This record gives sequence, C-alpha cells and structure tokens, in this order.
Amino acid sequence: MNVPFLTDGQIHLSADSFLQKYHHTLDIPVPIEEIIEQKLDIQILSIKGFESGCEVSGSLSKDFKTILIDEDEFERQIQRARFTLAHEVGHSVLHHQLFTQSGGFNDLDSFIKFQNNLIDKDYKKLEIQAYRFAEEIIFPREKLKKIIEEEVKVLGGLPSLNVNDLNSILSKICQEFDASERAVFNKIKRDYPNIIEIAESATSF
Amino acid sequence: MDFHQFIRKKRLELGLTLRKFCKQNSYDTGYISRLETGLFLPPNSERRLEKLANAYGIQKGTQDWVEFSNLSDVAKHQIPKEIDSRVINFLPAFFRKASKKEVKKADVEKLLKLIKGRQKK
Repeated sequence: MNVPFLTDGQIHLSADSFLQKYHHTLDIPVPIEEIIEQKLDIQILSIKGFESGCEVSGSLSKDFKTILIDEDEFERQIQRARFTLAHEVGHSVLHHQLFTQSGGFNDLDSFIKFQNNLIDKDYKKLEIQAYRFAEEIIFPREKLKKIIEEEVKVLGGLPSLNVNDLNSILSKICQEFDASERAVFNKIKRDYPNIIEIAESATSF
Repeated sequence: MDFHQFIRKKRLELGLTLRKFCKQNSYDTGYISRLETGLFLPPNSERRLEKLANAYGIQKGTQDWVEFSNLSDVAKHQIPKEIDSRVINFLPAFFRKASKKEVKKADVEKLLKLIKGRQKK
C-alpha cells in the first residue's frame, strides 16, 4: 500500500467538510458518539481487555462499519475514548478508499500478511493523518481560537502569562471540549506554541 | 432484518447512544455492543429477554414485541460456526501493536477471542 502524504491544509479541508456535513452547528463538546452511531451508521464494539491484550485501544474494522474500542477506556476514560473514536473516524474518512484499493484481506493469513507488509513509514502516515483529523473535529478551529483568545484576555494578555495561567487555559479547554489533558496539550503545543513558550519562560525566572 | 439489526434500530429510534442506553439500563457496553453486532445470541431466559425488550422500549403485545420475539427465536438457533464466520469482519483494517512487533497467528487468535467475547449462559 502506498499511503500518500497529506498536508495539514488537506486534512483541515476534510475535517471542515465533515463537520459541515455532520455537525454544522459546531456546538461543543462535539457529540462524537452521536455522529458515529446515528449519522455515520458506524457501530461501536466495546471490548474488555482490548488494550492489554492487543496493545491498541481502538481500531476500525475491515469493512469500516465498526469501531473497536477498549471497554475500560470507553466506560471509564471518556475524554480519551472520545479522541480514540474521532481518530478511527479519521481513518474512515481519509483511508477507506486506500484500503479498498489495496485489496485488503479476506482471511486470517491474508490479514497477517497485510499488516506485516504495511511498512512503518506508511503506518505512521496513516496514524498521523487520523490523529490530526481527530484533533480537527474534537477541537473545531474557530471555537478553539475564540476560547483561547477570551481566556488570554481574562488573564491579562499574552505577555503576562505564567504556568498557572497556562494550566488554567488548558483546564478550560479540557472542560469545554470534553477532551483529555494530553490531547489538549498536544493541540496547543502545535497550534499555539507561543502560549506555552511564554508561560514556561515566565516561570523559569 | 436480523435480531441484532432490529434492536440496534430500536435504540437509535430512542435517540440513545450505546453509552447512554447502557447507563440508563445498567448493561455492560461489551454485552450490548456484541448483541447489536450479532456476536452474542439473545438471552435464553424469558425474564432477561423481557428486561431487554423493555430497555429497547418494546412493550409486550405490540407488533414490535412479536417481531422481537420471532427474530430472537431465529437468532438463538444459529450454530456457533455462523457466528465464528462473522467475527472475521471485525478484524481491524490497520493493526499494529504498540511494541511494533510482527503480527503472528497467536496475536490474531487472541484478537478474535477478545472480539468474540464470552457470553454468559
């Protein structure tokens, strides 16, 4: 399988078009489970011991009709589960055609062969693309921008931010978008690195 | 329409996600999601079957009840091999272990076992 490179702009476009089609109000937190089950007609299969047994917390079935997710994560780590589900939706939107064109697999032997033939470079591309797509739908860009700007203003402006302010911003975003701290931190680090740099440099003195 | 498709349709008509439905009716998400994907058979006990129907908003004596009962009877008569042959459809499109180790037959067997789950009698 030859996985094409997708720019962030291409992924943004796909995510924007997805949100426009399935959640045009852009209300947050984005109701990812409702979108998956009711609008995309994808089933969720909750599997006990999936992560400990298979070293993955989520996967998309070969017919792209079911998302497999670790039961403990789904039931008890809801914010993390929301991101995992959005990530699998990312595969569904971005990689369905690619998988079909590759011929996929039909039995256990061809499954093993297919997975082991997928080179690391291609697998990484698939994962990064699905991850970025998930970020774009869990944190709709304009909503995130607005909340960050409001928070920064309340805290006295960008130059005066310290680590406590940064934590307060991150916590507000977690709450508003129903997202895990880790997902929020990664998103801010990539899209708003100046906030983290300023807050951390204020603390180092 | 099969039993699993029927009950899933009923849940979606109630406007409930898997999570909300299970929370509201004190079911494990693993159990309901396997029932709704046809990996588990409907319960044998009448009491459990009625509880299930009730959770899906299906009242005794209605046309939905007749359909629910008929479809569950058909589903219960499936032979295990039929279910086994369906499990393969749930294999992940893209699968790599966090350790990045090569996927072996034992991994797939474990994966299939986890997907299938074990239905309580």
